[in-house]
Amino acid sequence: MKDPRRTSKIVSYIILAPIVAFFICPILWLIVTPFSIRPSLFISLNGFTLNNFERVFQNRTAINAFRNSLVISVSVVVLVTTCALFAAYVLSRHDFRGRNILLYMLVLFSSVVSGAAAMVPIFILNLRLGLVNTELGVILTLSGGIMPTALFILKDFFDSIPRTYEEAALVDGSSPLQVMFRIFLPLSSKGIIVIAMLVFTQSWSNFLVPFVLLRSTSKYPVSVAIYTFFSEVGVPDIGMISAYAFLYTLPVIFAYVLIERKFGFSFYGGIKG
Amino acid sequence: MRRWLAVVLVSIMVIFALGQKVTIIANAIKGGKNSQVVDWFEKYIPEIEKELGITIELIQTGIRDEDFKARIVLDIKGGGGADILWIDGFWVPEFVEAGYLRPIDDILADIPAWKYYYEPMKAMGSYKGKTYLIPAGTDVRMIYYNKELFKKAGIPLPWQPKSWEDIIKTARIIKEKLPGVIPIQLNAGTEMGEATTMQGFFMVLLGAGGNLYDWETGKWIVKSSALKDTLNFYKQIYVDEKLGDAVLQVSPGAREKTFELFRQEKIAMYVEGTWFYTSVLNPNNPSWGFPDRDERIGWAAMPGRGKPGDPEFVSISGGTGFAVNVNCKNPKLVAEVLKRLLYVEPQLSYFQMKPFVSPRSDLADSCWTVNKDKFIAETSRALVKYTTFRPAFPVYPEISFQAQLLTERVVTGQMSVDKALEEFAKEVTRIVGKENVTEKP
Amino acid sequence: MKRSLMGRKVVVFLLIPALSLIFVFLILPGVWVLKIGMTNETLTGAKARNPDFVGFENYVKVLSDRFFYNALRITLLFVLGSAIIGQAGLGLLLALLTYRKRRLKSFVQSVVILAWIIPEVVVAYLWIAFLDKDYGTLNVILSAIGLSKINWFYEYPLLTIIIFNIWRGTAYSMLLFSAALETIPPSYLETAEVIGASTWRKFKDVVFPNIKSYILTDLILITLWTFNVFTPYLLTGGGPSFRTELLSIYIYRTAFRYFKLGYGASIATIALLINFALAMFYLSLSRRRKA
Repeated sequence: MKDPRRTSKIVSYIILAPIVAFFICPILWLIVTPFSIRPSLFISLNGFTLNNFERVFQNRTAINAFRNSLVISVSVVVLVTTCALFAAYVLSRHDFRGRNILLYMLVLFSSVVSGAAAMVPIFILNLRLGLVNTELGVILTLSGGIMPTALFILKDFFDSIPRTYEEAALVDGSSPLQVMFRIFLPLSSKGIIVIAMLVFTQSWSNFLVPFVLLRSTSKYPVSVAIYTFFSEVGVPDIGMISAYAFLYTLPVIFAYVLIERKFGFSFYGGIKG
Repeated sequence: MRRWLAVVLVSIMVIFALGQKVTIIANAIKGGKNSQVVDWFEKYIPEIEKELGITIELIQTGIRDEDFKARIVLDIKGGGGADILWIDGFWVPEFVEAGYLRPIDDILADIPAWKYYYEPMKAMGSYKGKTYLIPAGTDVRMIYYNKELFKKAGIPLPWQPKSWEDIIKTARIIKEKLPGVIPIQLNAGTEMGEATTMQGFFMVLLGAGGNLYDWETGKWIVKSSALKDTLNFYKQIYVDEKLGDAVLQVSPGAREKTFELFRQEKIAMYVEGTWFYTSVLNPNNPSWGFPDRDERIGWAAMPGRGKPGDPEFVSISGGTGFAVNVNCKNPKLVAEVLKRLLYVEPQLSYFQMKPFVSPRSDLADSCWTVNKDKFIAETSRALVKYTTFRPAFPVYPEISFQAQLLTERVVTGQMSVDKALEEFAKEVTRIVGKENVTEKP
Repeated sequence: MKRSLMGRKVVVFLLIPALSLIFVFLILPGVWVLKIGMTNETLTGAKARNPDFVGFENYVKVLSDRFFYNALRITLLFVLGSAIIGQAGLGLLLALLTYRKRRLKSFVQSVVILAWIIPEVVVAYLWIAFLDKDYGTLNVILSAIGLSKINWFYEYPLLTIIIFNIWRGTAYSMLLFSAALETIPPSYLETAEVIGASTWRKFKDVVFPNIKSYILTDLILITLWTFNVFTPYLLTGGGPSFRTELLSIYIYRTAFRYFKLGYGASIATIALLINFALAMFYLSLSRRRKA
C-alpha cells in the first residue's frame, strides 16, 4: 500500500538535499582551512595543524583588534539594552496613542536609513561632533541604528508578560521604579538576554561604520582588520586569514546558540505586519 | 660659542621632546607592497628616536593607491592622521586646496640638503608659491619585456621598437608562438586607477603627439586625432587582435593580478615605470620578485606612433615624497625627523634599496657612480630627456578618471571609439566648463 | 481597569535615552542628507573648505548620469532576483518542506541561519574562495567532473551576487514563514487532507490565505534590507566594469573614493526616497487587504 506521508517525506528530502548542500559548501572552507597545513582557496585538509592560530596570536594588530571589537560591542550592548529596556517597558506598560505606529515607523526608518546611503551624513555628523576616529562615535552610531529593532522586539516580549504582579506590588506601595527593577526585570531576563545577544552579534559583525569612522589601525575592530588583511596588496596569508576569520566567527555562533536555547528563533515572527 | 649654543638648544629640545611621538604613514608593508620602504624606515628610525629621545611610529598599509588616498583624506578631515605623509606628488594641489597640508618652507629653510634638489623636483612639490612636498625621487616609464619569452618566440635581442606597429608585430609573433602567454599588458580601465592613466593612456597619447592638457592655452583637450589614434591602438590590442587580456583589466585587484602573471612569465611585455623594476620585480620582493631579474627582464623605450612629426620616444614621470599633515601638533619635531631622514647617508641607502631617479644633485652622482645602479643610470640617460609631467591641477583626478573610463569602454567593447570619445568630451566639458576645453586637429 | 503603572515624569525620563539616540544618530542623518545633497561639498579641493549651496543642481546632474541609471537598474534586478524571488521564494519552500518535521526543520534552519549570521567580511572572503577562477572549490569540482572552469565574477557578475545574497539572507524569510505556518490550526489542513485536496490546492486555499500578512511583512523588510546592502562591495568592488555596482556601492564610490560628498548625498537622498516609496507601496497593499 502507498503511504502518502512517506512519499512526501522522500520528495522533500530530494528537494532539500541540494539546497542544504548549497548552503553548507561555502562554509566548509571556514571550518577546514584554519587547521590545514597547506591552506589554499580550495577546501582541503592536508594534515592537521594549529600553526595558523599561533600566527594569529603572534600578530599584534590581530589581537588588538579583538580587544577593540569587544570594547565596541560590549558598550553597544550595554547602551542599547539599557535604553531599550527602559523605553520598551514604558511603551509596553503605558498606554498612549500611536505607540505601535511610532514603533513600526521607527523600524521602517532604520531599515531605510542604513548602509552606504546613510554613511555620508553619518560621517559628517560624527565629524561635526568631533567623533571621527573615536570608539564613542562608532558605539553611538551603531546604537542609534540598532535601537528601533531592539525596542520593537523587546516591547513585543514585554507585552506577553502579565501585569498582575506589578499591579499587586503597586498596591503594596512600591514606587514605579522599584516595581520595574524588583518585579519586572527578573520576569523578563530571558527577553533581555536575547536582545543583548542580538545586539552583540550586530555590532560585532558590522563593517561599514567602523570602516568609515575609525582612522587609526590601532583602533580597528576585527571586521576592518580582516578586510585589510585580505585586501592588502601582495600574496595574502590564507592560513592566517582563515584562522582569524574562524576565531572572529565563534562568538557570533555562541551567541546564537544561546538565543536558540533561551528562546528559539520564533521571536523573529514578532515583527508582524 | 655658537656650537655650545647649538648643543644647549638641542639638549633643551630633547628634554622637551622626551616621550613625544611622531607618526609616519606610508603605503608600504613588510613583505608586501613597497617592502623596501619599510626596511629603510626601520633601519633609520631607531637611530633618530635615540638621538631625539622620541618615539617614531611607522603606520604600514599595503593597499591600493586609491584606497590609500581615501584613507589619508578621511584621516585628516577627521582632525587626525599621521604627522608625516608619504604621498604621491600629484595629490598635492587638491590636498592643499582642501587645507590638508602644512606648508613646509620654514622646515626646509633648516634643511641643508634642500638646496641640492633640482628645480623641476621642487616644482612638483609646490603649489601656488608654497612648498608642500619633499620629493623622494622621480621615475620614467618604458616597456619591460621578458627576455626568455622573447628568445622562445625567436625575437632578436636586444629589442627596441621604433613605432607602435613594431610593438604590434612583436605581440603578434608572441601570440602565435607562445600560446597561453599574454603578449602585452598596457594598463586600461578604472580598476587600475591612476596606473591606467600614467602607465597606459599617457604613454600612448604622448606618442601620438597628444596630451590631455594644452599648456599654452591652459585648456583641457577633449578632442584630437591623437586621442582617437590612442584609442584605436587600445582597440587593436584588446579587441581586434586580442594581444592583451581585456578581462584582466577590469577584474578586482587587476594590477596585482598582472604582476602575478608577469612573475609567472605569462605576460611578455609590460608598459610600466621605474618602480616596477626596482620594487615589484626586485629580487627581494617575496611576492613578485625575480631572483635573476637583471638577466631575465629587459627594457625598451616606448616609441611614438611612428608618423612624421611624432616624438621618437616618450616617457612621463611622477613621484612620491614627504608631506606634513596640517593637523601635525609638533612641526619642530617633525622638522628634526625629516632633516635626519634627508641626510646623505640614509638617502644613499634608500637608493640602494629602492633605486629611483634622484631628485637632488648631490646624490645623483654618487648614486650612479658609487652604487653603480646600472638600471637607473641607463634609463635616466635614455629617457629623462623625453619625459614630461602630468597636469597635476586640483581637477586632474577627475579628468584622469574620465581617461580611465575611456580606455575601459573601448577595451571591453562597451562602446565604439567614437562613442566613447564623445562621452569623454561631454563629461570633461561638464567638469571644467565650456570655457576651459579645447579641440585639436 | 488598565491604569498606568507610572507617572508622566517617569515615562519621559525612561523614554528619553532611547529616543534621543535614535533622534541624533538615525533621524538626524536621515534628514541631514537632504541638506548635504544641495551643496557641492567635497572631501578634497577647494570645496572641502568652502562648500556652496547649489539647490537642485546635483539632482539635475543625477538625471543625466549614466552611472546612476546603471546602478539603479542593477539594484532593482538585485532586489527582484535575490530578495523578492530568491529569499522569499526559497524561504517559503524551505518552510513548507520542513513543516511539522521537527528534527529536519531544526537541522535545515541551523544551516541556513549559519549563512545568515557569519560576519559579512568573513562571508565575503568565503565566497571569493569558493568562486575563485582557478583554485576555488566550485571550479575545482566542475573541472573534476569534466566541465570547464567558469570565471564567475566576470561572466555572470550580477547573477553571482544575486545567488550570493539568496544564500546570505534566506534565513529570515524561512524563520518568519515557519513561524507563520505554526499559526495555521492543524485541523484546517487535516480537513483538506480528508477531502483529498491536492498539494497545490492545500497551499492555495489553506496555507496561503493564512500566511498572507506574513508574506507582506517579509517582502517589506527584505526589500529594504536588500536595497541598502553593501556586502557585495566586499566581493566584487562593484566590478567588473560597474556590472555589480549597486546604488549603495555607487554612493560609497562617489562620496568616499571620488570625494564628492554633496553629489553622493543627493544620490543617497534619491535612494532613500525610493525606499520610502517601496515601503509605502507595501503598506498600502496591507491596508487594502485589511479594508
